[in-house]
Amino acid sequence: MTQDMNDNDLRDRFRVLRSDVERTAPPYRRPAGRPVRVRLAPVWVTVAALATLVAGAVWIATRDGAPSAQTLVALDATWWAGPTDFLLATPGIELLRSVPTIGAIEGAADEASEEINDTAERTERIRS
Amino acid sequence: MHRPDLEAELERHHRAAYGWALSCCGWDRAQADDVLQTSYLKVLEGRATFGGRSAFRTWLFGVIRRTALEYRRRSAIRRLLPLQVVRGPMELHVSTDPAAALEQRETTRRLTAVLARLPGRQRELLHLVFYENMSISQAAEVLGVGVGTARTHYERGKRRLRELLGGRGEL
Repeated sequence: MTQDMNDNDLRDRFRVLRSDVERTAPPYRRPAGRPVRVRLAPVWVTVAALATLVAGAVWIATRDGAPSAQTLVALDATWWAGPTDFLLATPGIELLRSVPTIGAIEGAADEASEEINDTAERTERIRS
Repeated sequence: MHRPDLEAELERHHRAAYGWALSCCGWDRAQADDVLQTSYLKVLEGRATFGGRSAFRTWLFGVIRRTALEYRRRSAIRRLLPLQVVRGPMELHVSTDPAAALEQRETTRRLTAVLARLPGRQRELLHLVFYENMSISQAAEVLGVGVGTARTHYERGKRRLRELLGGRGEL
């Protein structure tokens, strides 16, 4: 009995609350605004953009890639050795300019000595 | 269900839905309005689909509750202060009897303040049962919990509500 009375008391309180809410509730209105959504570009736009990028990359690579035969000839013609270049050809210079690998030191030394000989010969040629 | 039918249903349950949105949003009117509009959009755009497995009102209340949860999750400040700020719950209808109006205002203020101090589940259950006159099983369906769990929350909530309403203090 007490429980029911308490429940009735609670119901009365909620009834008052409900009447207040309903009196002040805004009228129903059709939702007008759509939430802003991030729309992804259509697939064909993405594919076209990617294709353009790839084509551009290929064009740049081929344009600035391997030099033409004309360029090679021109570079060869411009080779020039200074009269004091032989001073730069010190023994074992190749060892200083490269990273030696284990087991290949002997070969590298041979290559270096050949290089030195070549340079000495070239210098002699220039002097003469 | 077609759009005109959905709109008719939404309009029919609008007042109850507004009260439920208020309860889900800690009696914050601006937030409740946003939540309600978002929920209606979900329903009308088909992002929430009524399957007919329960009453329309039960299903709609579930959508509103989930939307309010999403809304609160998105706002860090609101998450930190979910129910601390209880704004003047509503501007009361001006009664011809000032004394009666004052009493009504006080009853409402006191009840919303006490409800704000209850745990979420208890508050939701009491609202659905006492405000919406739902049965405990209907309320359990809205909240997505078992009837036994709902009954436990209901009993605890009712006991706590009585304690707080009967207690003296700043209420």
